[in-house]
Amino acid sequence: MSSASLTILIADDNNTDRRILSAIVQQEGHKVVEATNGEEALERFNESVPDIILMDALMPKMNGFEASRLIKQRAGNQLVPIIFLTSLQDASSLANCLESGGDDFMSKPYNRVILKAKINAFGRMRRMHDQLQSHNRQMLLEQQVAKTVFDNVAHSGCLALPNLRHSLSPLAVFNGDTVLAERKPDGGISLFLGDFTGHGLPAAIGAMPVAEIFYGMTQKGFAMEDVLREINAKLYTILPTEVFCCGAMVDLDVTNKMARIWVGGVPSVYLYRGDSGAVEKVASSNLPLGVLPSRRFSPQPNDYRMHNGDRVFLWSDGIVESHNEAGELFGEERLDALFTHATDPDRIFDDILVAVDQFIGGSRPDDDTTLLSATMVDLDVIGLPLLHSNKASIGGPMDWQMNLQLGPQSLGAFNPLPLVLNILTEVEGLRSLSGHLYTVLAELFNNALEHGVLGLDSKLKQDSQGFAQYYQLREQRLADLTSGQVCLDISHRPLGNGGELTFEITDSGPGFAHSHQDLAYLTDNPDYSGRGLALVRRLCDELDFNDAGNRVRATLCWPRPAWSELHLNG
Amino acid sequence: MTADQPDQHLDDAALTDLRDLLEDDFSDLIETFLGDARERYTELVALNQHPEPDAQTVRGTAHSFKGSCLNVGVTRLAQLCRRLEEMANADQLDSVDSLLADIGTELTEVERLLRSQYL
Amino acid sequence: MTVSAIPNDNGTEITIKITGRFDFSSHQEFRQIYENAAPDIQGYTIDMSEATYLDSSALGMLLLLRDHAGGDNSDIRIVNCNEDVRKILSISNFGQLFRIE
Repeated sequence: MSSASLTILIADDNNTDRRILSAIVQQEGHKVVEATNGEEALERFNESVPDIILMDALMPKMNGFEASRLIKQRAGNQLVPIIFLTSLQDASSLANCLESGGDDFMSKPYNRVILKAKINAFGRMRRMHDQLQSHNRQMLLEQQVAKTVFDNVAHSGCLALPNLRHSLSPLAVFNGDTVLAERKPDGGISLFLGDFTGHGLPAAIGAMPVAEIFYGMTQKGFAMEDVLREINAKLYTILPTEVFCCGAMVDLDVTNKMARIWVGGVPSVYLYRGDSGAVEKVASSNLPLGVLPSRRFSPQPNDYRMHNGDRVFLWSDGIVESHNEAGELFGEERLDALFTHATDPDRIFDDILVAVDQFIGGSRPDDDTTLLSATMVDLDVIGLPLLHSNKASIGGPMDWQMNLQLGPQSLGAFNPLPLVLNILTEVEGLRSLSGHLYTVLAELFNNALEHGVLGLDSKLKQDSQGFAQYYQLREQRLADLTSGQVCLDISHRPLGNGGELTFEITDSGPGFAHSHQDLAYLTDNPDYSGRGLALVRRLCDELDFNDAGNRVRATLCWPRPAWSELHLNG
Repeated sequence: MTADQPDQHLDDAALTDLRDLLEDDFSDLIETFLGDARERYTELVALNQHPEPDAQTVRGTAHSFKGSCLNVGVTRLAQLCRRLEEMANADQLDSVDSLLADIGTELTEVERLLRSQYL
Repeated sequence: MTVSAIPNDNGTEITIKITGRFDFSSHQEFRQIYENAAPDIQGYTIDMSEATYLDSSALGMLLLLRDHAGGDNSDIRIVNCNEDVRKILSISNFGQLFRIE
């Protein structure tokens, strides 16, 4: 159809009027379809799908009002302009024309100039409407594809773990809310909740790199500071100034029973104590992600001791800012009351959703009630993660050794664990053990660093005040470090139908033999400090220290029994 | 022009316009108009002979009759039809005999004028 | 919502006053005000005394103004915030980028 030529249905029982109209319309180069009453108009409409209808108001069999109503019903989303032809003059008749679906009216006698102008105007409107519809279809299609891609990226994590709960609207991708969870190689869990400025595709698009970075780096064992730094740098580079990501990240260490929490621009993360029912709020103390350039962004999580049954709750501003029909906000007080009056901790999550839902009643939420919670559990509740690897599965290096020495500056600026783990998983037989390996490596390396080089005392961690102090001291001493080192000697050799891996980690400290911490204390004390080492001992075939206690040697052979056969708590 | 010159039988400007628009089909249109007009007049007379004339039908027919008169530029006949439509609308059909007679006379005059001047 | 701008006497500073909800719908208006302001403006004051609410798009607009005003060298004060507005600014820690008074 050329832009000017339209198909126009003329419905008029009066032969004279119809012929005059046809002549006018045809002279303008349009195609005419004629009907002599409402019923015929309906039939012609179904057959020929006209662009515009000129409809006489009063006709036998079915009048123009009724025909219009039925045609508009059938047209659905399609715009079919109907111009009523009438010599009716009274206001109520004219109103009736519009109410029954008419878009305009023309009085008899027909003014040809006006009629042409109206046909052209409605023709333009019709074309614009078609364009809009086609753009809309295109957009829906694109959103569907975008959502599929996003779901593939975002939902590869571990949100289904039994100790996690989350709520996210099915269309959340397009309001910029993101919820991510992934296992760390040591068995812990990293959580991320993000809320991008704005709505629609621009808000959703930033979630893709966030998810990629979050999953990729978390699986490889990077610390949350590194993950946050990387996310911030990426968003700062790719997003326009006015778009950024408010977010919160929580690292749950299920072995050492702690939570590391970072909040930037979303409402306070709540830490709910399972035994006392008390709530600690971790307020946002950072700018959102993507606002500051890398050199000025320095993520500083806060560390909290956690007992089994303690929970963290993360949310976007959608919950607190939900409002009811009277315009009142749900607010922090209502939220706090839910925690205060909770009788069953397992139900708090659902109680929040129900309360918000009841509160907003008939009014639609402005934002979405995005909510994520995690409960501290023991590792055997959730198992060790099966980390995916996309490396080819052929042999790999079997006979090698490496030595890595980290001086004071490197210890402060560099986390060697992801790098080492990456090398280890080049050995095909070790790939499925990366969780084991990371746990052993992380525990031994951190002992060497914290106790050996930094001289920190594990006993500090036994109460929660000391716990926070411990990590503050760690931070501070690491920053001030001018001497000391940690050496990693790692070797692998073929053995039987598998291989044998040996870690030897030496620190520059005096060794625990010189302190009050002996090996028996370290491995047998069930409290925080000893937990890690007790686990390492079960994961390794051999674990021994030198006399001074500043060198540890761990050996693992493979193939080895599956995690479930290790009887962690046995 | 219709309202300003109610006594005029034909609106010559409108008819000339129509002739330009329809070209060869013009005489056919005039014949169609005259045939339809005669038919509607006969219908109105028949309706009026009924002991209790159906005001709605009278109104509809008069309305439609008026519309095509206006479109063809038959000014005075359109005026008479409008009066009939208004009376039907007000349910005053007991005194329309003379109005109907006027419509008949005017129609005959219009037939004569159109045939002599435009065919 | 409306945005209005009042330059000070010697034209080196400008006060931008926000009335009502400060959200995405004011994007164009807000942008025009600072883009059309005199080029030698040294300081900006955002007067929130009549602002009832701001959303994250508004925070984005403040960042745009900050870029326009010279980024780290900009001088932007945000004054007279009501409690809701202050809270939103404090959750996002915009105090690190703006002088909130």
